[in-house]
Amino acid sequence: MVHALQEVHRVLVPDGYMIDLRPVGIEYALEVVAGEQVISVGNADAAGRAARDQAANQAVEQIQALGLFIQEAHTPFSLYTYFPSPIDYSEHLLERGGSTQIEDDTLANAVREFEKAGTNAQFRARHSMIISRYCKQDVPSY
Amino acid sequence: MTTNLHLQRDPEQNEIHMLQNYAELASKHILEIGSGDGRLTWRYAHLAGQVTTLEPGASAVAVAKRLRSHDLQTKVNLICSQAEQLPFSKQKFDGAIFAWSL
Repeated sequence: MVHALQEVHRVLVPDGYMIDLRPVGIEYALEVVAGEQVISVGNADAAGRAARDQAANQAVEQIQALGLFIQEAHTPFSLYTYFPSPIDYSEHLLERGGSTQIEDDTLANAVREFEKAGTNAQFRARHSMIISRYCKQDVPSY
Repeated sequence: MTTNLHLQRDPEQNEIHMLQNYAELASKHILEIGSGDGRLTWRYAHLAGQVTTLEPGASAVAVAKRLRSHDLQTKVNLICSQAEQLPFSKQKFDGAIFAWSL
Protein backbone atom coordinates (compact mmCIF):
# COMPACT_ATOMS: atom_id res chain seq x y z
CA MET A 1 0.00 0.00 0.00
CA VAL A 2 2.85 2.39 0.80
CA HIS A 3 4.41 1.56 -2.56
CA ALA A 4 1.16 2.47 -4.32
CA LEU A 5 1.14 5.81 -2.52
CA GLN A 6 4.75 6.40 -3.52
CA GLU A 7 3.73 5.73 -7.11
CA VAL A 8 0.90 8.24 -6.80
CA HIS A 9 3.42 10.78 -5.54
CA ARG A 10 5.54 10.14 -8.62
CA VAL A 11 2.72 10.68 -11.13
CA LEU A 12 1.26 13.80 -9.50
CA VAL A 13 2.23 17.27 -10.62
CA PRO A 14 3.98 19.50 -8.06
CA ASP A 15 1.35 20.62 -5.54
CA GLY A 16 -0.95 17.87 -6.80
CA TYR A 17 -3.45 16.44 -4.36
CA MET A 18 -4.58 13.04 -3.19
CA ILE A 19 -8.01 12.21 -1.79
CA ASP A 20 -8.60 9.29 0.59
CA LEU A 21 -12.32 8.52 0.83
CA ARG A 22 -13.36 5.38 2.73
CA PRO A 23 -15.56 3.84 5.40
CA VAL A 24 -14.05 3.50 8.85
CA GLY A 25 -15.02 1.73 12.04
CA ILE A 26 -16.06 -1.79 12.85
CA GLU A 27 -19.82 -1.35 13.00
CA TYR A 28 -22.53 -0.06 10.69
CA ALA A 29 -25.51 1.49 12.40
CA LEU A 30 -28.83 0.04 11.22
CA GLU A 31 -31.85 2.30 11.14
CA VAL A 32 -35.53 2.23 10.24
CA VAL A 33 -36.71 5.52 8.78
CA ALA A 34 -40.38 6.38 8.98
CA GLY A 35 -41.08 9.91 7.84
CA GLU A 36 -39.03 12.21 10.04
CA GLN A 37 -38.46 9.50 12.63
CA VAL A 38 -35.22 7.51 12.67
CA ILE A 39 -35.27 4.37 14.81
CA SER A 40 -31.97 2.78 15.69
CA VAL A 41 -32.30 -1.01 15.54
CA GLY A 42 -28.73 -2.13 16.26
CA ASN A 43 -25.47 -2.57 14.42
CA ALA A 44 -23.96 -4.78 11.77
CA ASP A 45 -20.57 -6.15 12.73
CA ALA A 46 -17.87 -5.06 10.32
CA ALA A 47 -14.95 -6.17 12.50
CA GLY A 48 -13.42 -7.85 9.47
CA ARG A 49 -12.56 -4.41 8.18
CA ALA A 50 -10.36 -3.58 11.15
CA ALA A 51 -7.13 -4.99 9.70
CA ARG A 52 -7.65 -3.18 6.41
CA ASP A 53 -8.42 0.09 8.19
CA GLN A 54 -5.30 -0.26 10.27
CA ALA A 55 -3.15 -0.97 7.21
CA ALA A 56 -4.56 2.07 5.41
CA ASN A 57 -4.01 4.31 8.43
CA GLN A 58 -0.44 3.09 8.80
CA ALA A 59 0.26 3.64 5.09
CA VAL A 60 -0.89 7.27 5.14
CA GLU A 61 1.05 7.86 8.35
CA GLN A 62 4.14 6.41 6.72
CA ILE A 63 3.99 8.52 3.57
CA GLN A 64 3.58 11.62 5.71
CA ALA A 65 6.54 10.58 7.83
CA LEU A 66 8.53 10.19 4.59
CA GLY A 67 7.59 13.77 3.71
CA LEU A 68 5.79 12.78 0.51
CA PHE A 69 2.42 14.25 1.43
CA ILE A 70 0.98 16.55 4.05
CA GLN A 71 -2.61 16.30 5.21
CA GLU A 72 -4.54 19.48 4.44
CA ALA A 73 -8.02 18.54 5.57
CA HIS A 74 -9.98 15.68 7.08
CA THR A 75 -13.72 15.36 7.66
CA PRO A 76 -15.88 12.50 8.94
CA PHE A 77 -19.36 12.13 7.44
CA SER A 78 -22.16 9.60 7.11
CA LEU A 79 -23.19 7.67 4.02
CA TYR A 80 -26.46 5.73 3.93
CA THR A 81 -27.33 2.68 1.89
CA TYR A 82 -31.06 1.91 1.68
CA PHE A 83 -32.60 -1.53 1.28
CA PRO A 84 -36.22 -2.54 0.70
CA SER A 85 -36.22 -4.38 4.05
CA PRO A 86 -33.90 -5.76 6.76
CA ILE A 87 -34.19 -9.20 5.15
CA ASP A 88 -32.91 -7.79 1.85
CA TYR A 89 -29.98 -6.29 3.73
CA SER A 90 -29.22 -9.60 5.40
CA GLU A 91 -29.35 -11.39 2.03
CA HIS A 92 -27.12 -8.72 0.54
CA LEU A 93 -24.49 -9.38 3.22
CA LEU A 94 -24.69 -13.14 2.65
CA GLU A 95 -24.36 -12.64 -1.09
CA ARG A 96 -21.25 -10.57 -0.64
CA GLY A 97 -19.84 -13.17 1.72
CA GLY A 98 -17.72 -10.43 3.13
CA SER A 99 -16.60 -9.08 6.41
CA THR A 100 -19.90 -7.57 7.56
CA GLN A 101 -22.38 -9.66 9.54
CA ILE A 102 -25.68 -9.11 11.28
CA GLU A 103 -26.59 -11.07 14.41
CA ASP A 104 -29.87 -12.99 14.42
CA ASP A 105 -31.22 -10.98 17.38
CA THR A 106 -30.40 -7.69 15.64
CA LEU A 107 -32.06 -8.85 12.44
CA ALA A 108 -35.17 -9.96 14.34
CA ASN A 109 -35.35 -6.58 16.08
CA ALA A 110 -34.88 -4.77 12.78
CA VAL A 111 -37.68 -6.77 11.14
CA ARG A 112 -39.99 -6.11 14.10
CA GLU A 113 -39.36 -2.35 14.06
CA PHE A 114 -39.57 -2.20 10.28
CA GLU A 115 -42.97 -3.89 10.26
CA LYS A 116 -44.20 -1.68 13.10
CA ALA A 117 -43.16 1.44 11.19
CA GLY A 118 -45.62 0.84 8.39
CA THR A 119 -45.57 0.42 4.64
CA ASN A 120 -43.69 3.62 3.87
CA ALA A 121 -40.78 2.76 6.15
CA GLN A 122 -37.25 2.48 4.80
CA PHE A 123 -34.36 0.46 6.12
CA ARG A 124 -30.81 1.75 5.90
CA ALA A 125 -27.24 1.06 6.98
CA ARG A 126 -25.13 4.02 8.02
CA HIS A 127 -21.45 3.96 7.10
CA SER A 128 -19.12 6.18 9.07
CA MET A 129 -16.90 7.68 6.40
CA ILE A 130 -13.83 9.86 6.30
CA ILE A 131 -12.51 12.04 3.53
CA SER A 132 -8.95 13.34 3.71
CA ARG A 133 -7.01 15.55 1.36
CA TYR A 134 -3.23 15.38 1.10
CA CYS A 135 -0.96 17.76 -0.81
CA LYS A 136 2.11 16.44 -2.59
CA GLN A 137 5.37 17.66 -1.12
CA ASP A 138 8.52 18.16 -3.13
CA VAL A 139 11.05 15.48 -2.19
CA PRO A 140 14.19 15.50 -4.37
CA SER A 141 14.89 11.77 -3.99
CA TYR A 142 11.49 10.92 -5.44
CA MET B 1 -20.92 -8.22 -7.49
CA THR B 2 -24.28 -8.11 -5.76
CA THR B 3 -27.47 -9.12 -7.55
CA ASN B 4 -29.54 -7.01 -5.18
CA LEU B 5 -30.79 -4.41 -7.60
CA HIS B 6 -32.95 -2.62 -5.07
CA LEU B 7 -30.32 -1.11 -2.84
CA GLN B 8 -29.80 2.63 -3.07
CA ARG B 9 -26.41 3.87 -2.04
CA ASP B 10 -26.13 7.47 -0.89
CA PRO B 11 -29.34 8.96 -2.33
CA GLU B 12 -28.56 12.03 -0.19
CA GLN B 13 -25.38 12.41 -2.30
CA ASN B 14 -23.24 13.07 0.78
CA GLU B 15 -20.30 11.25 -0.80
CA ILE B 16 -20.19 13.19 -4.03
CA HIS B 17 -20.76 16.50 -2.26
CA MET B 18 -17.82 15.80 0.04
CA LEU B 19 -15.68 14.83 -2.93
CA GLN B 20 -16.57 18.00 -4.78
CA ASN B 21 -15.68 20.06 -1.71
CA TYR B 22 -12.31 18.36 -1.37
CA ALA B 23 -11.15 17.86 -4.94
CA GLU B 24 -10.69 20.53 -7.57
CA LEU B 25 -11.98 18.85 -10.68
CA ALA B 26 -12.57 21.50 -13.33
CA SER B 27 -9.98 21.28 -16.12
CA LYS B 28 -7.93 18.82 -14.05
CA HIS B 29 -6.58 15.41 -15.03
CA ILE B 30 -7.70 13.04 -12.29
CA LEU B 31 -6.36 9.56 -11.54
CA GLU B 32 -8.84 7.34 -9.70
CA ILE B 33 -7.35 4.21 -8.18
CA GLY B 34 -9.45 1.15 -7.44
CA SER B 35 -12.41 2.43 -9.40
CA GLY B 36 -14.34 -0.85 -9.55
CA ASP B 37 -17.26 -0.63 -11.96
CA GLY B 38 -17.09 3.17 -11.93
CA ARG B 39 -19.90 3.74 -9.41
CA LEU B 40 -18.32 6.97 -8.15
CA THR B 41 -16.51 7.86 -11.38
CA TRP B 42 -19.75 8.49 -13.27
CA ARG B 43 -20.84 10.89 -10.54
CA TYR B 44 -17.92 13.32 -10.88
CA ALA B 45 -16.31 12.70 -14.29
CA HIS B 46 -18.44 15.27 -16.07
CA LEU B 47 -16.96 17.93 -13.78
CA ALA B 48 -13.32 17.02 -14.48
CA GLY B 49 -11.12 17.83 -17.44
CA GLN B 50 -9.96 14.25 -17.93
CA VAL B 51 -10.24 11.10 -15.82
CA THR B 52 -8.05 8.02 -15.89
CA THR B 53 -9.22 5.11 -13.77
CA LEU B 54 -7.17 2.17 -12.60
CA GLU B 55 -8.76 -1.08 -11.47
CA PRO B 56 -7.03 -4.46 -11.01
CA GLY B 57 -10.19 -6.52 -11.58
CA ALA B 58 -10.70 -7.25 -15.26
CA SER B 59 -14.38 -8.09 -14.81
CA ALA B 60 -15.02 -4.79 -13.00
CA VAL B 61 -13.27 -2.90 -15.80
CA ALA B 62 -15.41 -4.72 -18.36
CA VAL B 63 -18.56 -3.65 -16.47
CA ALA B 64 -17.26 -0.08 -16.28
CA LYS B 65 -16.68 -0.03 -20.03
CA ARG B 66 -20.27 -1.14 -20.58
CA LEU B 67 -21.61 1.49 -18.18
CA ARG B 68 -19.54 4.37 -19.56
CA SER B 69 -21.92 6.78 -21.23
CA HIS B 70 -21.36 8.03 -24.74
CA ASP B 71 -20.41 11.54 -23.61
CA LEU B 72 -17.69 10.14 -21.32
CA GLN B 73 -16.07 7.88 -23.93
CA THR B 74 -13.22 10.28 -24.61
CA LYS B 75 -13.11 11.89 -21.18
CA VAL B 76 -12.76 8.74 -19.06
CA ASN B 77 -9.97 6.30 -19.82
CA LEU B 78 -10.43 2.91 -18.07
CA ILE B 79 -7.28 0.89 -17.41
CA CYS B 80 -6.90 -2.57 -15.89
CA SER B 81 -3.76 -2.48 -13.76
CA GLN B 82 -2.34 -2.65 -10.23
CA ALA B 83 -1.57 0.56 -8.35
CA GLU B 84 1.84 -0.67 -7.19
CA GLN B 85 3.33 0.02 -10.61
CA LEU B 86 1.52 2.85 -12.33
CA PRO B 87 1.90 2.74 -16.11
CA PHE B 88 2.34 6.50 -16.40
CA SER B 89 5.16 8.99 -16.73
CA LYS B 90 5.88 11.26 -13.77
CA GLN B 91 3.88 14.40 -13.04
CA LYS B 92 1.01 13.48 -15.31
CA PHE B 93 -1.99 14.02 -13.00
CA ASP B 94 -3.33 16.98 -11.05
CA GLY B 95 -5.14 14.86 -8.48
CA ALA B 96 -5.51 11.27 -7.35
CA ILE B 97 -8.57 9.72 -5.72
CA PHE B 98 -8.70 6.59 -3.62
CA ALA B 99 -12.41 5.93 -3.12
CA TRP B 100 -13.06 2.92 -0.89
CA SER B 101 -9.77 1.54 -2.14
CA LEU B 102 -7.05 2.44 0.36
